[in-house]
Amino acid sequence: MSSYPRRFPLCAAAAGVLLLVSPPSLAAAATHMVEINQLKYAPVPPLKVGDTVTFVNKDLFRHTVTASNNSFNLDLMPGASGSLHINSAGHAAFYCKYHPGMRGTMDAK
Amino acid sequence: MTRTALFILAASALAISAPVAAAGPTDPQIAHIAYTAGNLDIAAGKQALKMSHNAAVRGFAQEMVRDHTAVNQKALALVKKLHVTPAANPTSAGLTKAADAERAKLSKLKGAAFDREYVNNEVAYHKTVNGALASTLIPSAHNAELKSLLQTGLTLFKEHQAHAEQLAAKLK
Repeated sequence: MSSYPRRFPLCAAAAGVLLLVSPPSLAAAATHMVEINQLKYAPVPPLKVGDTVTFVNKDLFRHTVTASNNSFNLDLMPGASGSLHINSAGHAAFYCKYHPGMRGTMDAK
Repeated sequence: MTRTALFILAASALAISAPVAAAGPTDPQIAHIAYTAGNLDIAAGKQALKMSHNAAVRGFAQEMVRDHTAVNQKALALVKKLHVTPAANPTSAGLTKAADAERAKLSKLKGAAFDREYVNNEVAYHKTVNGALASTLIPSAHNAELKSLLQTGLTLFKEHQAHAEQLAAKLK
């Protein structure tokens, strides 16, 4: 199945979700792949500011990665992937709009 | 669990006759039951999309149509690959008869009354199908790929049941 990678920077809207820290981390930015399968998000590893999280929908079903405060949203058809760029530290909870029982969290330092 | 148990379960929830048989359902029968159950919920979802003006109910109905279509497309591909012909059986017939009666009942309702009945029936329907999947269909399936697809279906339908229960509570 084809993949449609997209990038969704966590810009100003994300400031309310992920707390800003200073100074920015000097560690090299990393890209983390997080699978969605069997109506579950795989755990998101600990993140650092500057990292990218790419969600890959390996399920049969359409899913979203939607912030609990609606500050970000990835809508992923089966086989698709989408990315979030982490530009501030803090905690964010997310869920699937189509399957509200699907929930996850991520933390960035 | 035996085929008899499945029929009794369906009969208790859906008021269908319960033929007695010693063996559990065969894989072709299981495929037919699962596919039929999905198709019936797709039809119910399409009816809701025609009748309801409630955004949450319409969103749920779209979810039912989309998800059950995905599972049934996978099921069709699987039975084709396995050279299995789904076999009609009394349980599929009972599900269809009950769904026809519910569709007729819903067709006489409008507005909030329709929404409540549709969502309440979705709760009951998923409970029944999930019970049959867990207690009879999955344990009786012999083919590993069919069993795996049924397990995926059960995971999905439990989510649907929970979503329907949340929605039903909001519509009270």
